[in-house]
Amino acid sequence: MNSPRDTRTTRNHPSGPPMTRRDFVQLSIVGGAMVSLGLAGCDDEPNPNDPSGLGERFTYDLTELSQVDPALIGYQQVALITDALFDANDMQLGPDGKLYVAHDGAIVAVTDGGNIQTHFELDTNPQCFAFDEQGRCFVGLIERVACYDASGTRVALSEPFAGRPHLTSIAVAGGHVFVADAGNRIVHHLDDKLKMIGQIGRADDGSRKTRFVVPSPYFDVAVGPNDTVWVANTGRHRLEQFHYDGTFLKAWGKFSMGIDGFCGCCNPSHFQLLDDGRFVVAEKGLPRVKVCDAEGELLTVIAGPDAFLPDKQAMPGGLSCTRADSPIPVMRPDGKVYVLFPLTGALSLFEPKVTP
Amino acid sequence: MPDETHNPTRRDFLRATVRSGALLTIGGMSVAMFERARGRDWVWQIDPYKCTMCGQCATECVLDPSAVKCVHTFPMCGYCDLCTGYFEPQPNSLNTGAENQLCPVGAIKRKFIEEPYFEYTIDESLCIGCAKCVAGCTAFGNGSLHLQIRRDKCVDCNDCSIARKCPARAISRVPADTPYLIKDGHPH
Ligand code: SF4
Ligand code: SF4
Ligand code: SF4
Repeated sequence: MNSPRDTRTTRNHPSGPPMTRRDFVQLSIVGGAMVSLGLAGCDDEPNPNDPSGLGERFTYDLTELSQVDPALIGYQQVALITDALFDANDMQLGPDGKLYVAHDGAIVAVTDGGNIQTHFELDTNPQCFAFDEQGRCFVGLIERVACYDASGTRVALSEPFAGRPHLTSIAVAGGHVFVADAGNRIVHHLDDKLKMIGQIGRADDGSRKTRFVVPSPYFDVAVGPNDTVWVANTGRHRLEQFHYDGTFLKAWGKFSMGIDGFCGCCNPSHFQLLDDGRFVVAEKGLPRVKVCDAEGELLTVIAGPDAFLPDKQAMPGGLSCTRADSPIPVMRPDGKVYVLFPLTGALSLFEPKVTP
Repeated sequence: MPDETHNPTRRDFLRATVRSGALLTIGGMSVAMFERARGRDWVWQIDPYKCTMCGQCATECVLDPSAVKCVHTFPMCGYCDLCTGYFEPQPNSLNTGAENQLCPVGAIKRKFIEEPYFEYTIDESLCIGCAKCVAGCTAFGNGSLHLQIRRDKCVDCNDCSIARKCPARAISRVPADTPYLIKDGHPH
């Protein structure tokens, strides 16, 4: 199945053939790497690390910040399952233990062998989804939520949310549906018939303002224990916990380009709350996946930038306009971790390193 | 079963961050009128979606400083306090101290709008088109900072010397009445 986005042509160089967006991304990454390695076919070979010759002061260099102390990396990649999930938006484990991905206008099931099967199709590209205990699938469609039963039949559809909705994450438990809306910077609280119960994140001063700062369309939510939810307040580099009634409980997280914090303007881009209270967190910008304890202390790193882009400096301008530049992690109950990088379409499996 | 819903793009999200009165720094003048008045048929243009921010726009232009400037698409901007196009990757603190600023020539101005939002504008008289800020904005932010050849400065070389060097082949000649190719939050 072709994604409408995959087949959209880029603005082409006059002399070039039509190029799909996937071609563009792949060529850009390869092309950038060529520059860095000094292989680009220019008249005079530029210094690969400073093609302009302007010097260090004029060069944006993340090389050092991209490094992760190998001693902190507790996982290793054991399989590249597939590289066909370009531009996927979300990934979850189903109640049947299978891995599901929101990709290409459908929710698809992906096996460890790389077999991709459509679970059900949608008219519009799913942005996010979550399963409940009964196997029903709640799908975020930018401005409203749809619920599908286990056979893929739609059984409920919410009203479009007011304002400028852009749904980016859904979490479901016990008949409660929480929908992170990056456009409105709020978490909607619905029942499982998709009727509004309330909202989480309104400012304490009773105004229409929200407490969430969400500069880019990454805004994740997860259900916690004892009627609580965790929300990624990305612009403040924190994960915040609330009661279902919207009461703020606690938060952790800080800005740092170092591995112990959340980097850039807005992170974490994705997170998973584990049953034992630990968090698997992902960042964009410096694509990193790590595990933190219940208080936010770094426990181990699953994958650093090297695992995703060999040459981070090569990121062309167009790529910042996608919602694809963050890894999406999902830890299985056995501790192995699926990591999807939508920018390249690569889904990999990571396992804890065995220490002798 | 069809979903009775449309599928707005990421552009819609980015537009949701627009602050009232914010205009693109490159201005809203009529390109066609301006170019016709200058008797031009063709102009050189950067495709910001192809640019890989190599820095050669600052050094390869026949003009000094370069005709290439950073422009800012406000509707795409997150108005971040910690703007990665304005600040060094690991700033000491989030203020306008020169040691915190990414731009080597101090061409980006930071203005408080309302807690916690800041607006960033480019002083074109200082900008040399080095793309350092573009790289920072692209790596971590929404990519709202990008480069463009300013038509009021470019002298229309027959063979743009930046285009000859551009490793991304991001520069091409277009009819003079073509609007500036400005990033709009829509991946092409
Ligand atoms: S960093 Fe370079 S491109 Fe950006 S505003 Fe400064 S001089 Fe211009
Ligand atoms: S055409 Fe000439 S003046 Fe214009 S950007 Fe290229 S080199 Fe500079
Ligand atoms: S020469 Fe090309 S790739 Fe380099 S900064 Fe200019 S437009 Fe971008």
